[in-house]
Amino acid sequence: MMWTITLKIARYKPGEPARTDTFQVSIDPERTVLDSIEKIWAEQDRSLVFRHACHHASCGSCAMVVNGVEILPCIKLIKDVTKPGGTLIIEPLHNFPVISDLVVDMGPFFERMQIVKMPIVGPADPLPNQEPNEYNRFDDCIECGMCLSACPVVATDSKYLGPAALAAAYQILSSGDGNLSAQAWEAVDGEHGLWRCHVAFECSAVCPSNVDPAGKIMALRRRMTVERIRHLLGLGSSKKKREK
Amino acid sequence: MPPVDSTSESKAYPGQSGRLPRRQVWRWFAFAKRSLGTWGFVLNRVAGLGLVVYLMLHLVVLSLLTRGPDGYNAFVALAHNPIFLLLDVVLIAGIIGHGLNGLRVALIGSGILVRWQHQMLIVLGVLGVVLLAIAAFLVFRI
Amino acid sequence: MTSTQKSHSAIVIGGGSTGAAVAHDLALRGFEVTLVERGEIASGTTGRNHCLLHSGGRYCVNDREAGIECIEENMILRRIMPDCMELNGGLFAAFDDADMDYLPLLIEGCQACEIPYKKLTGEEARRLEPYLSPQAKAALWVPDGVFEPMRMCMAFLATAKANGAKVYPFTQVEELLMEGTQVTGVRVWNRIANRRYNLHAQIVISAGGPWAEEIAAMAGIDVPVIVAPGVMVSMTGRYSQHVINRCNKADDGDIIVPQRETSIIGTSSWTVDDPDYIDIPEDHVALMLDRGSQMIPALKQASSRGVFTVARPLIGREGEDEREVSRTFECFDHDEDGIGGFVTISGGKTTTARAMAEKTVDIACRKIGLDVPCRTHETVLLSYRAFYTI
Repeated sequence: MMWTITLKIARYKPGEPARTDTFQVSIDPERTVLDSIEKIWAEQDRSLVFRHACHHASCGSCAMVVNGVEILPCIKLIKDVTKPGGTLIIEPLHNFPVISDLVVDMGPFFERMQIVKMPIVGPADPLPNQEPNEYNRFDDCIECGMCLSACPVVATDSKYLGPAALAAAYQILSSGDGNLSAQAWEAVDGEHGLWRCHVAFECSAVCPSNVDPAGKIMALRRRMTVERIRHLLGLGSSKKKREK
Repeated sequence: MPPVDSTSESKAYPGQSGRLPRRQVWRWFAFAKRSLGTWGFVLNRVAGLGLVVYLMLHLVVLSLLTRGPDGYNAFVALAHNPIFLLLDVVLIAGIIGHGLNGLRVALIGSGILVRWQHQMLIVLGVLGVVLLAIAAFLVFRI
Repeated sequence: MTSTQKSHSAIVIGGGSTGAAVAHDLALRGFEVTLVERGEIASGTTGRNHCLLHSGGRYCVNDREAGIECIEENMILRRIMPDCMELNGGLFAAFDDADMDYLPLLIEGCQACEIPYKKLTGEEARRLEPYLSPQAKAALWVPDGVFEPMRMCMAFLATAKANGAKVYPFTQVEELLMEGTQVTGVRVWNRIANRRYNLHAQIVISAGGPWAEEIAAMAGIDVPVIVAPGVMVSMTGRYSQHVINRCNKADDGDIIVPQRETSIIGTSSWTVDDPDYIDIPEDHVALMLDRGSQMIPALKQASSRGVFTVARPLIGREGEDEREVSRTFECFDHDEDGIGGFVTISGGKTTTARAMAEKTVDIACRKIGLDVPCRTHETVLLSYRAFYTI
């Protein structure tokens, strides 16, 4: 079974005005949104640029906005986002600088992840009935940038550290003896750090990998609030803990 | 912290610098496709801005007092007009909405009941509507 | 130009694992390197691979050369990019009599290729991996691992960039520039800016994987590449810590790679002509689920998270059985075809990308009379994140 669907794709080339191109493509609805875009590239317009690599939600490179919501098109089936004869409006991630068509510059995102320095591989939980062990695995966060695109705070504070990096900071602090560098602390607890979040929870809503950044930001706040109250009451200094 | 929308030369795509996204205050309100949390976020923006505007108007009205009792009395007579009463109800809606959701935000923001943020919004929303109905009844009975 | 200008220059075509490793090796040996890739880094074969850091166990019985390459490179990659892999080992599990018959062959192969192994009883294997089918009669532990192909390319390229290489994604080669029988550069289409221009270098190295044939044809050369796609199915949920291999000769759906909270079942194999867009045969997906759940029955109840297909480049002539073609790589110095300044590297696997690069850059150095040893096996790579920030 094949569906014919319409894709309205945001186009932009440096030095030219932005525009929207309309393509029709015939595709099996069991295939993914990314497949439909790749098919358009292969059969209709080779000048279309978009990012993709792993096609199974592991590399995080293909994130884009489809019908107003951030998705990973590599795991989103056509049948789940439209109907026969339907239309998909495809845009690059919001908030990031657009390089060309659907490609955005992820540099600012990775600068943030570099500051916090989250290890991408950490301990794996034992499976049910498995003896405690020292297996490891890649972290849930695939660094796709969708949380920064969906966050209403990033939209107006472009220096906000953002959900992914703040969630990473919490992850580091709550893992064993993990601690953050002075630079990371400055970013996390600074003017554009965790207190900027306005609890829209949109990052957790769009996250394709169950990171729940909003939940982690709130947990981080609780941790720091408790620490500060303890400090106020003279029950041990939060500063000391940081310098450790 | 480098801004997300930095337009300096891209490191991943040498020779290219990205197009700056437009100033995006409007996206605070682009909540149609968004989750309930964003609706709460938008509610607080709208109600907050509305309350600020009200405060300004309130000060203007109070300043009538400096011109003697006549002007102020005339305004108070006007304020018994049903349209004005309706505006009062809108004001109360803003206070209730902003206040209750502010309570929720403060709780979540301190790491309390985070997992129930969604349900809290619904419960507080229902509570807000009930409170508003009572308030409207009282306003129009006067 | 500046004093940093280098005396030797090379253009690398292709930003998959091979191209990335070649660019890194060239930069380390003092070349001025320009890498062009027609799409995003790792958007072709590399990105879509099975994410399996081979121990060589899969190949050691039938293809000793590939087996030895794998275990050597496996050990090197652990050293040079240690922060970017799940290193939990792999099991070759035997479930029926045919599998049990294969086990001694596998052990013999591991010995011949010097792959470390440990024999486990079925009970021991199930204690390690509770989701393994109760049918498991025995298993062989080998040092398999799991990586992320795109991040691996980024790590190679970040390091190459730190050593002066220029990396241009979305820049497609449309023509090889020739002076007589000498390749002197490439004409590219920069798809970001929609502009076309020429780039020049002493040596052009094609690391185009399944597209290597198309690139070589621009110089009138025939490189024998078979495009053999395989289907993989990523299932929601992690059902093992080890890579689970079926203890038998390579067949459809005989490997389950755990990655993050998913399990990737692969792979099948057939051949196509055009690697640009490959349709997924629906029956292959069912086959993966069926074969995968023979090893881990719980996968039958799991939901599929993604289905994808990858265009493997195999070196061989059309008509050869693609399962029998060696999985080793081949480097072509096109001096032998009467064309100078041009080298093609294709075949192989992402696990062996570094070795492929070493051999290719050895040839490139020989061609221009340069005697610099390879250091990639001892050079720890930068974080993949640095690709975006330097």
